[in-house]
Amino acid sequence: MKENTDEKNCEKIIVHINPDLIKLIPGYIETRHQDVKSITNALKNSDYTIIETLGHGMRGSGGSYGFETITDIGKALEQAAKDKNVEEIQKHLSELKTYLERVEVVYG
Amino acid sequence: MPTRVGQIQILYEIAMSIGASLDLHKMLQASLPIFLRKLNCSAGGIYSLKKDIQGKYSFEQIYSIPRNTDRINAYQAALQNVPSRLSERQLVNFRKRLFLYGKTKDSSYFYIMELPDFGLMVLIKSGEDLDPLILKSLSRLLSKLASACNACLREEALRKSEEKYRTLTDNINVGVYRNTPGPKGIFIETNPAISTIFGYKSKEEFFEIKVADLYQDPKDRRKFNKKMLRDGFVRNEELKLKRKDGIPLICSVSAVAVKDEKGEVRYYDGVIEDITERKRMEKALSDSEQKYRSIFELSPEAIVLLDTKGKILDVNVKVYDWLGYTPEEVIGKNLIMLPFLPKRSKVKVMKNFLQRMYGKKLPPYEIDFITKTGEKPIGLILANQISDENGKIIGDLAMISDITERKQAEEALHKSEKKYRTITENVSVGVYRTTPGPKGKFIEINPAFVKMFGYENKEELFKIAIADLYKDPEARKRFNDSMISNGFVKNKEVRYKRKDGTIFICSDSAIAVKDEKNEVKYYDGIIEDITERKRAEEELIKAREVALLASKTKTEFLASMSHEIRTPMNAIIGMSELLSETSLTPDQQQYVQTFRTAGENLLNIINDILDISKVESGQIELEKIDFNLNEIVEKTTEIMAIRAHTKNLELFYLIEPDIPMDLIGDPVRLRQVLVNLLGNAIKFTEKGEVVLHVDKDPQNKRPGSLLFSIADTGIGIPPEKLKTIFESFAQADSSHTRKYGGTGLGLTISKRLAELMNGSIWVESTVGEGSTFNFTAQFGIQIKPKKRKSIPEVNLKGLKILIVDNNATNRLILRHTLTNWGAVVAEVEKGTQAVAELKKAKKTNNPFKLVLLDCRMPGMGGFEIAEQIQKNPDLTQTTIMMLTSDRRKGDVDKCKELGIASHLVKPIKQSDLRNAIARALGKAKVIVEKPKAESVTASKDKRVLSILLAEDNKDNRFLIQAYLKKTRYKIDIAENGKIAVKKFKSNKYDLVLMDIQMPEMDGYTATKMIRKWEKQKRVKSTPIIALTAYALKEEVQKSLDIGCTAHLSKPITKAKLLQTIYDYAGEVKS
Repeated sequence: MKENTDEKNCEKIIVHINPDLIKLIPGYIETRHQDVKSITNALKNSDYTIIETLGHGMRGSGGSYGFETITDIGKALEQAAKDKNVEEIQKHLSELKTYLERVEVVYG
Repeated sequence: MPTRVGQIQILYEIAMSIGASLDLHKMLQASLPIFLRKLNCSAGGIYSLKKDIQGKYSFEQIYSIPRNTDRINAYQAALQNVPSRLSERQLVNFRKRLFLYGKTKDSSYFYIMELPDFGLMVLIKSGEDLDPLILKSLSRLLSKLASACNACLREEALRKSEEKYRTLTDNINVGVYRNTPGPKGIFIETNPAISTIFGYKSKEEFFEIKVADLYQDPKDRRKFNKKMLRDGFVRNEELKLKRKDGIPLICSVSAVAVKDEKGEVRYYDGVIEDITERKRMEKALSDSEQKYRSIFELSPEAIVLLDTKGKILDVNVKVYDWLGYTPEEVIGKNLIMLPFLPKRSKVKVMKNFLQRMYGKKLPPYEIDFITKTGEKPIGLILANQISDENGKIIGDLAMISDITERKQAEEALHKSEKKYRTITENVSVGVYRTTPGPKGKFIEINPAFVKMFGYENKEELFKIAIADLYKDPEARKRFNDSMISNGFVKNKEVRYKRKDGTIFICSDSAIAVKDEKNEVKYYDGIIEDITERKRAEEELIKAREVALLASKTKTEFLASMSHEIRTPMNAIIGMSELLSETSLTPDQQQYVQTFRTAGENLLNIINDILDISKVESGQIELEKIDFNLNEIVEKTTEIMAIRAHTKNLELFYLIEPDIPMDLIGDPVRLRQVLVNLLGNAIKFTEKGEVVLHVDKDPQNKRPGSLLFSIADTGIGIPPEKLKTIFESFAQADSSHTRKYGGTGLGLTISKRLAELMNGSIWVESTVGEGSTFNFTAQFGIQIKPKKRKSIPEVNLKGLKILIVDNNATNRLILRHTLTNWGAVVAEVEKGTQAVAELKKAKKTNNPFKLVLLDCRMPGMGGFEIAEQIQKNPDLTQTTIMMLTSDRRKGDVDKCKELGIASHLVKPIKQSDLRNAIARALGKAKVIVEKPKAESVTASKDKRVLSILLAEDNKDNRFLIQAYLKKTRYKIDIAENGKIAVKKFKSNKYDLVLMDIQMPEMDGYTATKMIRKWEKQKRVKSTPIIALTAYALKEEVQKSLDIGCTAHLSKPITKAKLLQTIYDYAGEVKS
């Protein structure tokens, strides 16, 4: 699994994923989009627990699927939620959005 | 019949006809017709006698009537009586026979008469014979005619000679003249050159002047005149003359006085030459010669002129002045005989001279000389070849300067400089003279001394007893005692007090100076403040102790760490061994083999870490055991290929066929070096290939001496780093440590190991192009090699194989290997060429039997080519083998799909290749890797294993389920710890995968409860694998403490998951 995160040079972020997970990936990505919405809402309500949980979930799963970045962002979100640091949460949330827009999966 | 009067008349008229013309031809033209007419002759001719260059005489026709006598038969008959090419004697005889007379066939008469001193006259008469009387009288007339002819000839000769002379004088640039004698003189005749010399336009203009006018000084003309009259000639007389325009000339004149029959001088005939330019040049030359001579003689340097043989041609007076030898003692002698050169100098001079004679330019050099009086000055010789205008060396000019004084001055200066330097350098040292005794007083001290003790001036110190300066006054006593007993102290460490009371440490050296009565007058000494030095020394000692301790700690740490890592590594390797003994598909076999060898390799690396401490203390010892080189290389490259392929690099190896394979040595250490060097090559290469080449060591002919070269196409090493790269902890660029990782120990170990194997290691590199690490090693050769695993017999002899690969190295290796096995190999580098080549071969009825296709090539790739081959009905007989650099699963499927006979992963092992070819061509039985022990476990293995997965994260659950879908594992899910415990109690599981952080109940608690329950129920404990987040150490440790069997750190990869399950689920069964 190799991840190209050179954002300056390429629009797409290519992620190589184990072909065994081919059926899971669309769902996984979709769930992350939902996470974005949930976190946005939680921020409005200042419900940091939700954000921490969602962050923890991303952290625990991202890398296993092949999305190291999702793990990194999840970890950062989890920490920011613990600290109740709104700015940090917003920053990582937008990172997550950008990543989800750009990411393109290649199996194999 | 003519009358007598008539006869006289005829003779008279003939006589008159011999005209006065001085032209022979004209004269004869006028007179001969009259001869003929008067004598009634029809034809006649005049002949002159000529002598040819061989001395033979002939008569040559000068004039005849008619002009052409050839057609007159009578005339020709007459000429037959005139012989040619007569000798002197024959001529005399012939002349005796004259006059000749006869009658011809056509009744004509001929007469041949002598023309005395000239030649002959021939006459032809028809009809009546000539009157004998007339003939008789004719002889006088003939004499007259002959003399007239001769006069003509003389005149002609004169004219010719005159013409010749004129041409000569007119064309030479020397003036030729005839003038009248006398102080003035006038020109009578000149050639054109003379007017040119004196700048006159024409001869006429020149003739208008007086001879004296040409002189710069008219007196000179009078002198010249006098001399001419006295001597009758002058020869090469130099005269100062002038041109018409007044420009002075110097002329050389040679002249004779021509006298008339009365003995009076009539005129001067002479030649005159303008020698102004020559004189000027002569003067210039002599001036310059003079100049050079002066330089030569007056030169402050001794000058020696030599020929190419080394013979002295000339020396200047300086040689005598300086060395005392006169030129006579030196000139003509050979260099080697020179009296003023000592033997050693001669050798040097001779050598230098010979080199110069061969055209070498040499710098000045110094040698010793010896004068006639035996002094030994030093000379600096500056010598140069002398060449002629063509550049040919014709001699040598040596200029010798006396540098004796300079050398002495230099030496003196050097000494004085040294002295001066010593003084300045020691300025910081205190110098003193004191009175002796236990108290002691200063007599003299230097400023540094005063400063050292912190006083204002020396007078202050003069008042103080020296003992009071000591920290311990007793020390002065001891100093004094040793001065008295030994007469000196050297580098004695003394503690002194400064004026402000602070203590400092000095090194004191002194001698006792005695007077003539042998009594000690005073102590002279120096002291040096060594406080700082002492402090530094102490610090150094402390630092050393700290460093030693640190080093010891490090070694201990390394040892214990290595041990800690080795323990679980052993488990990994052990398990993999067990696993490999179970029944596996060939793919699985390969995976297991790979991770097993990888584990072993990792263990080796850990061993390396231990080694480094041994290396550093030189404690490594090599084993001497039998091993197979091919196996080592194959295995090593196989492991390294995995690393290479993840970076999309190609890795090849090539063992030369004549290398002995069954060796004695330390295979572990050899592999260690190979792994290090290959690992480095892969690490520092981003694109391209890494090639391992094994060959005989060209520098060492002993069998078993091998050269291993590892070439990469990586970043290369800058030249300045090439030396230090083999030193400990050195990478080409320390910033690389961050970029590429690694300790930098690998090369140090490799170097030591290569040296231990009686070899060496070195690197050649070009930045940006790549590096080649080479090492040599000496191995023993097995006398009776063990039988190796037999390779299936394949007769490749004559088998036509086409290699299609864009990588030239890979093509080379394949060609090399296959050709060795007897195959006929062709190669192309592009897909498009491949198909064309195959078609071409088919057409010529000599098709390729086998194609080795590189899977990934730019342009047309391996699969595309395979497809094209399959599609072409002509080529369906061709067997295809695919070569890939990576283990992509899709490739294998695609191969099957396309009916590709075999699929090999680079680096291609020779045995694999051979096996694969055999299999592909159906010529040998397929060798299947059978499990080594088909034991009872096999049947158990088929049982479905049950796994409990406790994981709250839905995504991770999906993931693990997906990975285990096609396996024989059945998964039960628990969303949290609580459910997990509940499920564990009610079902039987072979393995539990336990996430740590879960809601409701976390993994720790759940594990604790499971273990507790197991104890209560006294059942065998089930392996629980903790799913820990990203190798958090505390999490791992805690999970193990609580009772988890092992842990699996996230991210979870398929391989890791399967391996762990396999390891621990397997453990249950045994």
